Formats: sequence, structure tokens, C-alpha cells
Amino acid sequence: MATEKSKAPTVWSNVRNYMSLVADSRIATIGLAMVSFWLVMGLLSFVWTPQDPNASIGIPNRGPQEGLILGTDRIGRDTLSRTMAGTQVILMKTRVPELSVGSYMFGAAAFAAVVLVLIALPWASDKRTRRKGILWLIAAMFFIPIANAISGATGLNDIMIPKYSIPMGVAIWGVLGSLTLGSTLGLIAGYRGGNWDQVIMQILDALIAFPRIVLYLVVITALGQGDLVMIFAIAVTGAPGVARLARSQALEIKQRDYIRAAETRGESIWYVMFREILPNAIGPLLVDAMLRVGYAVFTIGTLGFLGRGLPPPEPDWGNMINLARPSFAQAPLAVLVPAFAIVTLVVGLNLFADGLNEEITRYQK
Amino acid sequence: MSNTNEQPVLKCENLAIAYKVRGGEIEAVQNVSFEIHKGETYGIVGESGCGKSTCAWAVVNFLGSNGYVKRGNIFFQGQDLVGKDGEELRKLRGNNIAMVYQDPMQALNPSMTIGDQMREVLTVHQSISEEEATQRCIEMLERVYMPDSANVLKRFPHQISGGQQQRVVIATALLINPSLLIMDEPTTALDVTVEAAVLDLIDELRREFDTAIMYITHNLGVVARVCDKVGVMYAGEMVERGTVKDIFKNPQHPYTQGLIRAVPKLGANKEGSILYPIPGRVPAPNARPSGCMFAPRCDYATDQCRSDHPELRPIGDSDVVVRCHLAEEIDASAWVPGDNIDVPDLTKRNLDTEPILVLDKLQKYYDVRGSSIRDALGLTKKRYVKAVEGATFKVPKGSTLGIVGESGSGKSTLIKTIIGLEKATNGEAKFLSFDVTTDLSEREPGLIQELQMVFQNPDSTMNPSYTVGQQIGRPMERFGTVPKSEIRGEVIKLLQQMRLGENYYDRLPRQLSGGEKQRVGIARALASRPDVVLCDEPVSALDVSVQAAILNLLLNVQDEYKTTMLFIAHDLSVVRFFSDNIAVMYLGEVMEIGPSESIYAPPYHPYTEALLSAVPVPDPTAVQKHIRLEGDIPSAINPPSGCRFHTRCPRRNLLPDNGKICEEKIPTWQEDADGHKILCHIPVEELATFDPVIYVPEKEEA
Ligand SMILES: Nc1ncnc2c1ncn2[C@@H]1O[C@H](COP(=O)(O)OP(=O)(O)O)[C@@H](O)[C@H]1O
Ligand code: SF4
Ligand code: SF4
Ligand SMILES: [Mg+2]
Repeated sequence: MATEKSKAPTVWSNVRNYMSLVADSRIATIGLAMVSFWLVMGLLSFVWTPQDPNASIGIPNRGPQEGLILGTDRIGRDTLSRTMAGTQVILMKTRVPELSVGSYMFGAAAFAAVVLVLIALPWASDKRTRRKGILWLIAAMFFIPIANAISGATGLNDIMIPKYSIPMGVAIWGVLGSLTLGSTLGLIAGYRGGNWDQVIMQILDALIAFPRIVLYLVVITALGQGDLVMIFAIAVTGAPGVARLARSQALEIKQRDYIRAAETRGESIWYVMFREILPNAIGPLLVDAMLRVGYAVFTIGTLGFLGRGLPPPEPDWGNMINLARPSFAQAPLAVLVPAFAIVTLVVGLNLFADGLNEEITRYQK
Repeated sequence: MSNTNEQPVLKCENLAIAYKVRGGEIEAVQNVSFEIHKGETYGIVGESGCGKSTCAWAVVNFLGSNGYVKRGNIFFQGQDLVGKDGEELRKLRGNNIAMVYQDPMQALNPSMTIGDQMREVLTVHQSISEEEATQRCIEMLERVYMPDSANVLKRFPHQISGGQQQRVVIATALLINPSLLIMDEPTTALDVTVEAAVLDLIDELRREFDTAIMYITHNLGVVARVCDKVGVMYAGEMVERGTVKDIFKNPQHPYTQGLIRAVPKLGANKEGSILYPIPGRVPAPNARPSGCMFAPRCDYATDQCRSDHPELRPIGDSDVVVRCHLAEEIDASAWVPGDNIDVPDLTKRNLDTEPILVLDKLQKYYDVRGSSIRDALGLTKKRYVKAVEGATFKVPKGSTLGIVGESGSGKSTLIKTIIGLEKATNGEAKFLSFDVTTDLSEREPGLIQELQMVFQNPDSTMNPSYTVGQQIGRPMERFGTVPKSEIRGEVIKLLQQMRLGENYYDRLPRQLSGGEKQRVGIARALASRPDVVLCDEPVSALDVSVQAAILNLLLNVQDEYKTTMLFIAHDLSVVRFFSDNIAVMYLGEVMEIGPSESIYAPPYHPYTEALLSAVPVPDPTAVQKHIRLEGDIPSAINPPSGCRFHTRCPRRNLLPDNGKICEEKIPTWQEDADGHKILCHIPVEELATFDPVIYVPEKEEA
């Protein structure tokens, strides 16, 4: 007898399906080309840039010259090299600073608590698993105090772990965060309905009511500048929007008979939400996520411009604009080039998402 | 009747219509010719995908950006519409062609009141005062038997039922008094009772306004009722054309014969109501055979059929033309079902009398939640939709109970309650010794496994993200009925029983036809080896030619697994031959229940009688009692007092005082013979004196 598993067309095969649509849309292809350009630039910058992006090697505030095709910034660094490398922190790597073991424990506890809440909430919303869900929710509240107590008592706060980087940039991690947070909450709200829907959406709507940039500034002021803080800020501010979309998808999909079929098999709420509903909602969510990466890039740029962006020394486009602004008259390129980078990447992501979306809706007809 | 010398209202000549698609084009329609005269109803029949709607869209120039008329002509009142551009076409057609679609919401604007939409049709083309327009709208709505017309004008489309929406669309189409009315499956989504009223209306219109009507359907039974002439389409071609009388008396084309055999009949006996499917399916436009298009599905196909494409030719001295090489030789009356179709075995099964499912006064109320703050605070009086009330019956093990009634009669709610998707409000329900008034969250997996369900809509019954194999395998995995390593084999076995091959295992739902999806839905329901399968209208969204196959399949499966079935249908003609017992529901209550044969012969409950009289019978010679229910099914929030049917009952006048008692007193159950029970004040002896609803005169030749 042949083995049981056929190629499982779950979330991944749907993603592949949508990707094959890109080729059918000119807009999406152009968008993809623009995004790819920066991806290639960023990847290239890991192994080679014309100059060292962080070294002052030329005369400050100069226009194009030999070896420095796009001129220099206020302290004589190569604009081209810095713009290339600016892709890294946004899309390709996240810098974890030097932190104590205690901070790691705190982080791990906070992360575990969030994950636990996300897992336990659906359970709590289902009569069959309510007790288990509530127990876990209560347990999650103790994670952080316990972690803090342990690290305080054992002196783990004094042992430091040196800084390092992890793959994928701030914008990507941030959007992944809002995707996880938002879609779980949105799916519960949409599928469960009733009071669950009311409460969840009310909380998220309150969050949406704040101007986005204010939210960012509040988070960054409270926790300090840093890649991880930025990820957190992107994840939290983006979650309500994702939740709304996931909820509207769930509301529609839950009417289908195959959801009734799952229910009459007595499937758990987790199975229904993530195995029956999510695979059919993933397309629009991914398109939306693409747009969100664009917003995130733009927001990071804005924050950098306000001097509240990602920390130095690695270049970040917003920061570059901010630094070069006072000497715009002498060296306009030092402002224009990173501005161009932000615009092309954001527009590219938008075109890509729009084109894909158009193709998806046509495909559904 | 029409005068054939006069110019036809619509004449299509050698029409070929193509759609441009990626990498070429497909000819959806070829070789179609027909003409429709004033005051004539012309039926176009054929299964889904045969090109019927494409023909209609070509006439109204609605083919979309990628469709065009490739060859041939469309003459409307003598002028050729083909090749004319938008402005010219508008002039030619003027306000003279109207179209009604299957889905009324396609024609209605959800954000405008019905009154505004209808008035607009009048005020756009003529100067007419607002009041006068309103008056004409009300009159027209009354003509289509819309209850409470003046009020309906103030509502939005979603505030009225589907049947009412369709009547609004038809009334709107008639407001402009078109010379040609095109109706594309206008009744397919409606209840038989509403369908019957709409069909009556079409007949009336034609007589009164002399409108030419092009009527598209997949059901030859409907054609027999309203049309004068009919054109049968198969795979984009017209394969037979003639008067309805001739075609039904003596269908020449094997496809037409097949369509007639597939329509549920309400003949005199059970055998007469067996349905015979047409095996196979309509070929896709790019995969049509080179010879006769029907050859792969035809019982009579010869080598000549497979190589030579037949032309339309007249037969004998009648007006019938047919596209078949062997038309003269084929004798439809000698037809016997081939090996390629399942035929149910009607020999009386030995039924256990031991009941597996026992309901006693089962009740399901839904809370009506208002959205105002007062509602939220509980300040308003609580209101309920009384969806099921006092359902009491037993279902013997291994038998089939058919449940029939108009939409809104509580059939779905009843089975949703039994399966646990809803929690019963009151009463008792027992499956074997288990209480099934609880909802699913309180049921043990062992119980959940024993009750499974087959759903109505083929397009939503399967999760689009998983393969057929995964979806059928899931219940086995979940309930552990089959060891993991044997699931695949088990699934394939089920697939084969569903007459789907092993190669379906890895297919995705979008690669399947509607009928195939329903088969997978049935396989999934059977996968956990349930004792009871609940079917909610599993065939009502399918073409008649496919319905039969699914029904016969269910019946054979039931025989093999000894499954008990509850089967919902909105039409009494479908359930007859395979139900052991039938329950007729109206507005949440069971009105009549009994062994299936007893339902189709007097004594009838007055509601059952009306349902039977609404079923379209595919036989123009059959005499059917004409009983039409007035108005719509009342609201289940405030059901009528006494007998719930009293607001529409055509028989209450047989009781003293025009049935005053019906409004005041709830009737009691009267038992006839054999457990046949009727809920009515009229004595069962009197009910027994009614004539049968359908009478088929003996055929002279036979
Ligand atoms: N979830 C629900 N909430 C409120 N009313 C409902 C709900 N489901 C069905 N109903 C109402 O219950 C009645 C019976 O409906 P249904 O069981 O669907 O009938 P049928 O299957 O015969 O069409 C109708 O009045 C319908 O509007
Ligand atoms: S031409 Fe041959 S295959 Fe076609 S319908 Fe006639 S008998 Fe059947
Ligand atoms: S009880 Fe009266 S209203 Fe009800 S079905 Fe009988 S005659 Fe009609
Ligand atoms: Mg229903």
C-alpha cells in the first residue's frame, strides 16, 4: 500500500498558488522587480559595497566623484554604500544588542506569555475547553513575575550576552508579529462571534483610534530605541488592522458548509480556525501583509527622520535623510538617494500587493 | 396561437458564439437556430454548460469583454443585432427586451428601495409622475401575486424573501411591457409552490400581453408546463427542436429522451417515480468529440456516430428537427437502463421496526436579538423565531425518512438540532439511548461519530484548500475508525463506491463538477461509519440529470451500510421512490407523516395536496389539480393561531363557518392506516374522498 500523505495543499500550497499569479499581472511584476532590486542591493551589501558604509572616507558634503558615485554625507561617508546597506536593517537582519541573561529571561517569559494567551484564548472561547483555557490564561499572568524573581535572586542580571544579529529585518519581523497576533484575534472574533467578537474588536478599535505615529513614539520613548523595540511597535500597531481583515474573512468563511462539516465531526476550535478557515483566508492576509511591510518601511523612515528610528551605527534610510537634511543645499544627493530608496521600495511593495490582489479577485470569478 | 407567417420577434440563425480565453478561444455555442413568435413561450433546455445562458446573453449583448458572436445572425423584429455597436443596438432594441436571471440579487440594487428601483424603470423612459409610477408598480406587483405590494415598495431587497425578490424582478421586467422577455432559470432557486405561481404567471403574460418569451431551464418538467415549443441544447448545439407536444410524445434524440427520464415524475406508482440519470457529463468546449457530441454518453452510439457529425434534419412529416443519425431507428419505449447507471432496487426492504431515533415534542426557538440598546439591556419583551414546534416521530433503524416542505418550514433547523449544531429548546430527542437535545459541545466523540450530515450547496460543501482524499480521510483519522496506515485504501474504496475513481484522491475541489463534489460530501459523511446520515437537500442545487445519479447512489449506499437516513427535499417528487416514510412540515410543525405511498394518495393533508399540485410534471398530457397557495409562508415569530396553515389553507372552507375552528383550535392528530397521520380538523374520511392530484390519461397507442 502506498503511503498515506499526498502532497498536502495547506497554507503553503495556497501561497504558491498566489505566487504563480504574479506572472499574470504586469503591475505585480513591476512591483516585484522594484522590490527585488532592493533585495539584491541589500544582499550584495553583505559581501560587497563600493566603500565601507560606516567609515568617513571622503570630503564631507560632496557631490559625485571618483569612487564615490553618489557623493558623500555630512561626515564624508559614501552615500551609495550606505543606501545599499540601509536595506539590511529593514529587510534582512535584526540586531540583538548586548543584554543580560535576566533580560533574556524576561523576554522569553513575555514571549511565552503572549503565545500562551493566543493559544488559550480560543480554548477559553469554546465550552468544551473553557476550563483548560482559563487555567492557561491565569498561568500566563505569572510568567513575567516568576522570570523576574528568578533572575533577580540568582544574579542572572549581571551575566551579559554579547550582541549579535538574526536573519530578517525589522519590518519583516514586525509584520509577522502583527500577522500572528492580529489573525488569531480576528479569527476568534469572527468565528466565535457574540461577546468574544464585541470585546476583542472593542479593544482593538481603541488601539486604532490612536494616531499610528503617536503609538510608535509612545512605545519607543517608553522602551528606548532599538531593533527589538521597533519590531514590537510594528507588531502591536499593525495587529488591529490585520485582526479586522481576518475577522471579516472568518465571518464569511464560517458560513460555508465545510465548516458545518468540521463542527459535526466535533473538531476543536483550533482545528476549525487554523486548519479549516485560515488556509482559505491566507491570500488576502498575505497581500495585506505585503502592504504592511511597505508601511513599516515608511514608518521606520519617518521615525528615523524624527531621530527616533533604528539605532546607529548601521545606516537606516530615514536616519540618513535626517542627518543630511541640514546640508541639503550642498549635498542634495545625500537626502535624495535614501528618499528615493524608501519611495521605490514602498511603491514596489504596493504595486506588488495591488497587482496580486487584482489577479486573485479575477481568479475567483 | 401564433401565426408563423408573421415576422418572428426573435430569430437566431446558425449562431456561433465564442469566448476569447488565454491561449485561444472556445466556441461555447455553435449551430444554433430558432425563432420565437409573438405570444409564444420558447423553451431552451439542456444541462449546465450546454450554452443556454450564452445564447441569452448574446441577444442582450451582455457577453462580457471576451465574448462575441462569431458567426450567424440574431434578428430582433427583423433587424440584425450582430455587428451593431452599443448606441445603435440600444436604438434597435429600445426598451423592448427584458431579462430575468436565476439569482434575483443580480438584478436588484441592494442599496436602493424596491420602489425606487421599479419607478426608475418607468421614469427613465417616459415622463410620468411619481404617483402614477408608484401606482403602476403596485399594480404590477399585484399581478405577480406579491402580498402587501404597497409596503414592499418601501423595503430594501434583503428585507424580502428570495421568492419575493424574484417576483419583484419579474414585475420590473414587465413594467416596460417588453416584446421579448428572456428568463434564465428564473425558478431554479425557488420553492415549488412559488415556482408554480411564477409559471402560472408566465403563462398568463403570454396570453395577455402577447409577449414572446425565451425560457431557459435544465428541467424538462418545467418546459412541459409553460412552453409551446422547445429547443434542446447539448454541448453548444441545438440537437432537437419542435413543439412541446411532439417532443414529449415522441422524443427523437437520445439526449432528449435521457432528460425526460431524469425528471422526477409524480406518476401513479412508486416505480414510475424512479429517476434515471444520464451517465457521464457534458464535455468541456475544448474537449468536444469530433463526431456526434453526445456519442460518449449515448446508449445507441455506433462507429458512424463517433466519426460523422450529424446535421439537424426533419423527421417524418412533423415539425420536429433532430440532430441524430439514427433517429428513425431508436425506439425510446424499448429503453432499459444500461450497466453504466445505478438503478435502485425497490423490493420492499425488511425494516427493523425498532426505532433508532425517537423525537418527542422537540422544540427549537431562536432568540430574536434586536440591535437597539433597549434590547441589549433586556428591556424589550423577548421574542423568538419558533423554527420547530412539537416534532414527534420515530425513525426505524435502517429506514429513510423524507422531510418535505417550503423553505422556512423548519426542516433544516430540525436536523441541525438532531445533529447538535443547535441546542434544542425543549422536548425530547433520543438516538438509541443517547440524549440528542444537547449541542455538539456536550456530546461524546462516540456519539458525534454516529450522526453525520450531507449538505446542500456543492460549492461550499468542500474546503477548497484540501484534496478529496484528505477531506474524506479526516473523519477516519479524527475518530480513529481506521488505522492510520489503512486510511488511504479505505478512502479509495469509498471513492469507488461513489463511482469516482482512485485518480480523484489527489484532486482539489475546484477540479470537480457539482455532482462530483456532492459525491465527495457523501463519502465524507459515510467515512466515520455513522448509524444515521442527515441529508439537507443534497440534490436541489444540481441539474436534474445529475440529481438522479446522486439519489440512486445514496440509496445503494444505504442498502449496503444499513444506514438510517433523514432526507430533506423541498419537493415531493424527489423523495418518493426512496423514502420509507415521509413527513410534511409547515412553519415548524409536522402536518402529515406516514409510509411514503400513503402521502401521495388521498387522504391528503390540505398542505400536502397543494405541494403535490405545484410539482411540475414532465408530461403535457397529465391532468394536475390546480391548487395555488396564496401569499407567503407567515413569520415564524408570530405563527398563526390554531392550525398554523389556516392563513393559506385552500380547504378550510369545507368546515363549517369557513373553518373558524382552524383559527381557534389546534387540530389533533388523526390516524389513518399503517401509522399514516394527519394534523387537520377535516375528518380523515372526508379527506379520503378527494381526487388524486395527478391523473395521467392512458396513452392511446399503448
Ligand atoms: N440561526 C437562525 N437564527 C434565527 N432564525 C433562524 C435561524 N436559522 C433558521 N431560522 C429561521 O427558522 C425558520 C426555519 O428555517 P429553516 O430550518 O432553515 O427552514 P427550511 O430548511 O425548511 O428552509 C425560518 O423562519 C428561519 O428564518
Ligand atoms: S448520432 Fe449516434 S451518438 Fe449521436 S445521439 Fe444519435 S445515436 Fe446517439
Ligand atoms: S385544520 Fe383547517 S386550516 Fe389546518 S389544514 Fe385542516 S382545514 Fe386547513
Ligand atoms: Mg433549508
